[in-house]
Amino acid sequence: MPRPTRIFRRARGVPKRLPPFRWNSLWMLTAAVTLGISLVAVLAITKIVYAHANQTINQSIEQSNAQIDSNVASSIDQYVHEMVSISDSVANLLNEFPAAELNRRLFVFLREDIETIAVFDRSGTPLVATDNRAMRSDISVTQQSWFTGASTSGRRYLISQPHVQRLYRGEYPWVITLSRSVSWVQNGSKHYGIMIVDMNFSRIKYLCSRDLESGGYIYITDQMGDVVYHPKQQMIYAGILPKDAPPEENLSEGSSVVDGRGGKLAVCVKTLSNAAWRVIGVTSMNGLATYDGGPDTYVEVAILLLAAAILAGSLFISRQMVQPLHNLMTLMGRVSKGEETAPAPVTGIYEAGRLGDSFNRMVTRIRQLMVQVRTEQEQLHRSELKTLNAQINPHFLYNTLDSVVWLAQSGDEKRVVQMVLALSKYFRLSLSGAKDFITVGEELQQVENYLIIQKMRFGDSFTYQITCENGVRSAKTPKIVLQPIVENAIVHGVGTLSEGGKIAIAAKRTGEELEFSVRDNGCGIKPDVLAHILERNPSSRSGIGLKNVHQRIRLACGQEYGLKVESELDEGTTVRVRLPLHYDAPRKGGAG
Amino acid sequence: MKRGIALLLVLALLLGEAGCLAGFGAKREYAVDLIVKGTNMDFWKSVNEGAQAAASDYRAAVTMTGPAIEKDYRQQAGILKDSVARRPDAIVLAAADYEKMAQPVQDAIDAGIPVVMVDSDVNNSRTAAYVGTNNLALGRTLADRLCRQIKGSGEVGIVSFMQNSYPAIQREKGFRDAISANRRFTVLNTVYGYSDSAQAEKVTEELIARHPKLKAVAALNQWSSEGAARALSKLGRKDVRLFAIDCSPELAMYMEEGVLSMVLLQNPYQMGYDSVETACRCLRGEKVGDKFTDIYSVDITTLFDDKYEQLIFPFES
Repeated sequence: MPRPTRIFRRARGVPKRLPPFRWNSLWMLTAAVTLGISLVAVLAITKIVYAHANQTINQSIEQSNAQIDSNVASSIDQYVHEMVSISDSVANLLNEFPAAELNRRLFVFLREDIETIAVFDRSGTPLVATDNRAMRSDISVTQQSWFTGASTSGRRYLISQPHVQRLYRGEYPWVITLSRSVSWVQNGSKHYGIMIVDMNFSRIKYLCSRDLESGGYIYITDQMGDVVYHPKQQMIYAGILPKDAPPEENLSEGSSVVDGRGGKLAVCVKTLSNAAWRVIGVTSMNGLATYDGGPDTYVEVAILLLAAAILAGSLFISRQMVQPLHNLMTLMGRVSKGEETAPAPVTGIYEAGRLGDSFNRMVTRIRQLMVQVRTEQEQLHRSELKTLNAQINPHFLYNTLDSVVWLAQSGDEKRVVQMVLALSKYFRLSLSGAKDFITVGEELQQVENYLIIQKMRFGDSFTYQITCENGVRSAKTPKIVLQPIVENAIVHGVGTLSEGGKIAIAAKRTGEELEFSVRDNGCGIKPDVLAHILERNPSSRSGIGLKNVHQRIRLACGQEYGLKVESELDEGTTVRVRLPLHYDAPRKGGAG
Repeated sequence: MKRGIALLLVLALLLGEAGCLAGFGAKREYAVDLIVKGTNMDFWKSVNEGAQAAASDYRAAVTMTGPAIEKDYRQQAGILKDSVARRPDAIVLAAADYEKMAQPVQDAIDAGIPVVMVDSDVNNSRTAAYVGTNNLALGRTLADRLCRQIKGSGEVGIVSFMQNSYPAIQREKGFRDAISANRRFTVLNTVYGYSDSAQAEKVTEELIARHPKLKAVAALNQWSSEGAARALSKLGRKDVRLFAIDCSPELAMYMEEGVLSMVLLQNPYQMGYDSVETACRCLRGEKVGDKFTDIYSVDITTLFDDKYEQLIFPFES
């Protein structure tokens, strides 16, 4: 009896858990690739934005550098101009007042940033001075560069380098000296001399000390390129050249960008109109890096958060992409193990859907093929069954006909008639159409007919008894089950006894099963034969009838049914037949 | 699984950090504390100027601290302790006492802060480096100049500043070693001016009173030199030659007047620059070593050279 198919009975859902971790999995691969691409993109964008910001900042640095530089230059210009005006006023006063008188009047010109105003005659003797302190006599004024310079140069006035002035004992102020030749008429004669205005250097220093944006600085050189003022003067003297010092030969008037040792420099050169000085502003064009070293903490945090978000995003997206494939993979695994599964989803990502669809078709096709194979196998079994049936019938027919011939020869007409009648009844049941299953009653009737025939053949050397439990008579059984067993009992059991043989046949219900038993008191079966009596062994001819029955039952009803043989030598043999208890003939053929 | 995600996360963080660095390309600032012996003194102001110049070159923030005037080492030890508590990246220190500052310096080093010594070293072998004048050489050079300029033989006096100041000991040692190698001069017992011009003037007067035939005086720092110059000027003893270490406008005046024969200049600006540079390079993980700063020998002919003017005459600000 074929078992019902269970393939679509219990469907398991699509798996939801994460797939197990594998470095070479598509998930990790996709995650790594998305992560990589995103980070490269972020870095590239950062670079571009950074470069742009750099450029903008550098431009603004250059502009503000030039602006501040020109402001400083005009302040210094204006300051020098003031000093020149003062010297002009003093020069004019020289014509109006005698030197002694002038000494008292000069104090009006005194200011904090003017160290000394003095006039010397050509021999270096001081004539006029702003204050009454005694000038040192031990220094030769005429040897000082400001004195010689003013008397020899053709210029209206001379601005010195910053230097330590030594006009008074113990005083060493840093000054810039404006010196000029002066002439005045006194008492009708013309006098010549040198006038100096010593400007306190701290004033110039203060004017220059305006810091340029982003660490820039301003310095002053004279036309010869000698440094007049440099905020890093000491550094230069100490033999440390500032990293951001512009190369001297690249200095040209106006704003420009030059290559210094430490990178690009914005340099602005402004030549003063009335002093032979150049005010030079220098700023490193470091762009963003100018501002306070590294990125702020919040920028770092933002970048790290972004990186984490990209990571999470890439993991999530790649999981979304790979999930259908993984589901399909799990389904395939189950199908390959023969488990039942739900059909693969065909919605969602197109490729995965197509793959699922193909997979479903394949599974359906496989199932169809499985059903087909099963059907074909059952048909094969049935034909085998028919063959077995056919095997039985002629075998028995020859034997019976032999007996009939034997009875007829002995002239026992009554028994011939009786035997032929039994044979006729027997075949009527045997050949009852195409039915494979008959009732227990019919089967018992059948075996009784057989026993009648055989009892006659064996000369009434045995007796038989047939019992049937109430209610099982109408149950269904494969036909010709008992006859081969009884035949076996007669031929190998009671048939060997001269008389007193007994065969007891019973049909009863055991639980949900139907049980036939055929008991004889014959010679029994040897244990070594008994052990293999039901095995399908073509070489062994013994018990061929039992084997046939056993196989037929198992083919028709299932592997758990069949024959069971118990035997003891010289005591007898009992054969039990286990069958499913049915009252309707089972459906023929398998599923579908 | 979890391990894999953790690995990916680490990878992402590394890339993120790389992004930070690539994007901004700037190094962090170092915070360096400069602890000097007297913030109001010209010498240390000059050291600070050099330090600030190095700070702008090395993207560091240098803060000068210290007592306003040179005092007991205890005050400096307290200032060092406060500095360690602020946890700067490095400390540049001019030790007020060679022995007694050793332990406070060790505490700073134990706190994981590299200490660079400037000008005045400390008795601690675990400092990162010493940057400053080679005081032994300074003393030797002074003796060398003295021997070259004075003919004949005689007595030489030393006006030093502190008995237990390491630079003082080193200078004196260098001086005595070089002088005694020459064998022409007898070096008298050292007198101390305790970094006070008036005190130095007094001890010099006493020294001259005790040794009327004194040939020369070596003064080992600015205040000793000023005191000695005042004493010699007051006594009108131009026959006693004065050789000094460090110069000031006052000393320049004495040199112009012929009292002071020669001075040796140190370069505090360079000390400041080089010490901060050393500290920053040490923080960058480079190998650093001791560095001796320049010594200049100046007499009346070179006193007003551009190169020395700024070392002798401070800008008034």
